[in-house]
Amino acid sequence: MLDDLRYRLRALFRRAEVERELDDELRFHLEQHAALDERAGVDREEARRLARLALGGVDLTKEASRDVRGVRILDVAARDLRYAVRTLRRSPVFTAVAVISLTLGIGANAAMFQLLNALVLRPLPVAHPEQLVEVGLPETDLDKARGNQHRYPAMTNPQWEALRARQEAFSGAFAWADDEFNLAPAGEVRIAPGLWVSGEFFPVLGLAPAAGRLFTPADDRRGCGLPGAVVSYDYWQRELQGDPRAIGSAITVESRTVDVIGVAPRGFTGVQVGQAFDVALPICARTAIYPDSKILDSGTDWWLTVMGRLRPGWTLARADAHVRTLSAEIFKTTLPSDYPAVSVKDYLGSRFQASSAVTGRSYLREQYSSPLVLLLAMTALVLLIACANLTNLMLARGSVRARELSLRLALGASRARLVSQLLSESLVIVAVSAVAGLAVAQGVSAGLVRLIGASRRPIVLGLDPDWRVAGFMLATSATTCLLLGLVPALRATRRAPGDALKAGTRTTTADPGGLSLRRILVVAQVAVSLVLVVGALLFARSFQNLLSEPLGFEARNVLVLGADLPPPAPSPEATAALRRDLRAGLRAIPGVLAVAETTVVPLSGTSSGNTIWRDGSIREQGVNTNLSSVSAGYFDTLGMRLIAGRDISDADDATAPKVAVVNETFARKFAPGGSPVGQRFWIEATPRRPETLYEIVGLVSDAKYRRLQEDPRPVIFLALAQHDPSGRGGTWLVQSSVDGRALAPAVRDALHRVNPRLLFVMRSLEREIDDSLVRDRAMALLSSLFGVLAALLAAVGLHGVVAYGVERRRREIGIRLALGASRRTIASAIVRESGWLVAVGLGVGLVLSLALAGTARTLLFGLEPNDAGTVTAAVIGLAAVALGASLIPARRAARVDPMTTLKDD
Amino acid sequence: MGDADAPLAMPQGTLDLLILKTLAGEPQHGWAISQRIQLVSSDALRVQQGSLYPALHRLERRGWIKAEWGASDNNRRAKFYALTRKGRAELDSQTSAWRRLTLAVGQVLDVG
Repeated sequence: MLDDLRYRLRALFRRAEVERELDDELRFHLEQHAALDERAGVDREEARRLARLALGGVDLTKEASRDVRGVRILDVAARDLRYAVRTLRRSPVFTAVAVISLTLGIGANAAMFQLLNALVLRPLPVAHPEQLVEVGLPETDLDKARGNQHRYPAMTNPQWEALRARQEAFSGAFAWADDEFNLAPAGEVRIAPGLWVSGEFFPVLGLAPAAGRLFTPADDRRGCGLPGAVVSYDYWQRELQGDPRAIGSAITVESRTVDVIGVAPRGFTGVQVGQAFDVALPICARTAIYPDSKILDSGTDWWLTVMGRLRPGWTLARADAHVRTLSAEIFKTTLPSDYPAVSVKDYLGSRFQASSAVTGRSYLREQYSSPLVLLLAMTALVLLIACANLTNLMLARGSVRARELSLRLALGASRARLVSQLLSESLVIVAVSAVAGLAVAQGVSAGLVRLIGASRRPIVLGLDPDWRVAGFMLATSATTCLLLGLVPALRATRRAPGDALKAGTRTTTADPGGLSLRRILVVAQVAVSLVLVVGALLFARSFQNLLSEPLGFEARNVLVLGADLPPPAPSPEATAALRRDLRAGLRAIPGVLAVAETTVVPLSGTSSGNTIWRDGSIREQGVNTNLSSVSAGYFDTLGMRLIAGRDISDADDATAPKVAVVNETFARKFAPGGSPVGQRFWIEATPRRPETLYEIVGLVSDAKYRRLQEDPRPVIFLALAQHDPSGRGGTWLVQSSVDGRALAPAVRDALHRVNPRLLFVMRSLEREIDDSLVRDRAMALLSSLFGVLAALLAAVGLHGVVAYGVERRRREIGIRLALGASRRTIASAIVRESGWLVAVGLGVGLVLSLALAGTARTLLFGLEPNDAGTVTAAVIGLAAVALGASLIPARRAARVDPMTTLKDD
Repeated sequence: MGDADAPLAMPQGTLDLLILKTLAGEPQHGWAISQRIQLVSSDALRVQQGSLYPALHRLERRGWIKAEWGASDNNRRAKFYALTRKGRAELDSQTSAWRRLTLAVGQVLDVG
């Protein structure tokens, strides 16, 4: 068996050597034979002839010997490929066009698939990821849950502890939460992605440390203090230079000194796809980091994600049933005493569910999986159009080579051999393009990750190709190859042997079918590119709508400044003093026009809300309304217009009557027809605040609150000093006459003067809003790119077919011109003909576009998928491009010189 | 019936056996193998020279014989074939199979 393999491999890879040996061996035989006869007196030439005769033909013997090698099929394939390479080399322009267009086409597809693979398909890089299960509340229950939902979906720490103690479905379960840690010792904040993990996190995931040790359940006990930090491999390499001695050294996390006890394994970035962590702390360390925090005992802080590894023999369904059964008991024992009474029934009725966590959890995935699928579909269509173009070129080559192929058929070559030889050409083209395309894809997908990675939280995705990418590449390449080569190959070898010979050099009658096939291809190209152009225009206009959407406030030259004192929190009086000093310090900076504090930065994605009801009505009639606590001067700072009443002032402090300013949308709902000023409402109790009555003192213009895409929503602005008086600091908006970046040094100085211990972070509000549009920008950019590409490719295809038609009819055109037809008539006849192709293509494309546009609905803003103006613009634009493309050959047709054409024959 | 002196047509697979037998003594090149088979069989068996080389290569692929380049009697470079251990075992089993076959066929013919 082994001898056999060795023999075949040698025959395959050392073919030249094996052939030479065969030559030598046979030559030796012939010489010996001839020498024998010569000694018997036969003439030398005759002896040689006799020897060859006795052997029965040298070539036949060689062939028989080659057959014995058992690599016949591969041998033939190799010969076909060599032949294909030679043929392609003879037409470098065709080859270059084909390889470049396919490289781009396949590369774009591979890039999209790689992203989709990394984000959606790839299991977590841990042992047996298929056993991982997430336990959480279904959306319907979470929507009714009360308290602070730090993340979504999530559960509270008491719930997790109860679940951990009772569950039997998992061989191990763990909880985690992502967070942002400030790693700077003092001064300007350096935000790093962090993780809170339970002690079971690393053991249950089956991870081994790259250095030091990882947390165990023994580390994560209530009152553990600060048992150390585990850092990621990347952080270790980047910040600690991969030094093994870094284990045991100290880093600063949230102004506390923590020892690094170990490094997570290489390639493990957490169980959240798209976001890596730098530093992980045990959940119990939360009270050491934030001494005021009661989050570990809080039944209303929803912040942990819980996962487990299925016990051997347990199915997901069984685990699901198990956690459902446990739920009643868990929710009963963890019901917080301060839970809003109206919601207690919902809390007790909540049920956990188990779902597969094989691919981890990802916020990025929720945002980007449908855009990526859409983009992959677009690139597939672009590739299809490019294929159609190349098929067209192949068909043209096929008719040029018709004579050669006919001759070979006539000489006895089998059709299968010719088809396989012609297919080899497309195989070579596709193989080269696929390899180049994969290389292109690496750059493209990495570039896309940077494009969609907002400045604040870089996206980390494992993009290295795996077997899924390899399979995708193989399938794409095989399909492309068949699309490209099979039809032209079958068609080129279809005609009866000798047909082309009979037709002679003039092929005026041959291949009418080839032309009609090429027309069909062009119609298909136009149709598909219309779909892409419509898509491009939809996303471009949607993005434009977003950019021109009025914010309701002025974001230009507004700096968002987060400033906190390190924990623990100072007394309320000290906090109030800090706020006063800060505002004064910031106001004193030259160029600063206005300063205000807020709890909710508009369009930052954060929001706050509670149930409110009119004074005199009952709580059950309340509606959930968005809230924002602001200081005096907030509306001024953001350029919002006060319509009636007064602004919140410094006099509205903790001792003064509680006041509120409301926006127009709120006013329309709360006081239809009249002014809301002077009316009063209640805000429902929270764990930190009792039920409180507020009086409306002002009415302000509408402005965007959470997202740019939202419709105007009711918002209530409360006085910060009355509603959120405590804390270690806050968020300030600083409006200036200069760009935020120019202001930064002065702000740093001012903060240092106010309190050197302040931790702070600065960003531009305009930039932040810009960052929130990154998905829409990427969609507009990429779909426009694909739309333009599709239109160009279709134009090239149309041009090719029309030019080919003109070329074939050169003689006819010459005769018609000679008979007195005007050049104008000739040109318009050509354009009319391609006009038909374009019209049919656009018609089909219109139907396709209207059928497919719905898939983009959720990603569009400010227009419907079947927006008439957009579709019309796409049709007109593509028609113009297509007709422009056919004008070139039409003009050439009109310039035909009848004399030369007729003399040619 | 045919001419009693005409060379015999060889049954399928016989050539392999003859090659193996010929190589049982010492390594030989292709030309020598064909000469030797003819000589030993008193010209009764004519080896189709054209089929000798594919047969040699087939045996080589099976690992029954191995090839080596060496110098011929008249000091020319020639490809010598030698029996491998596997080939020797094959020769033994094929020889006894052949003996049993001819015996059995002979018996049948004798009874007739």
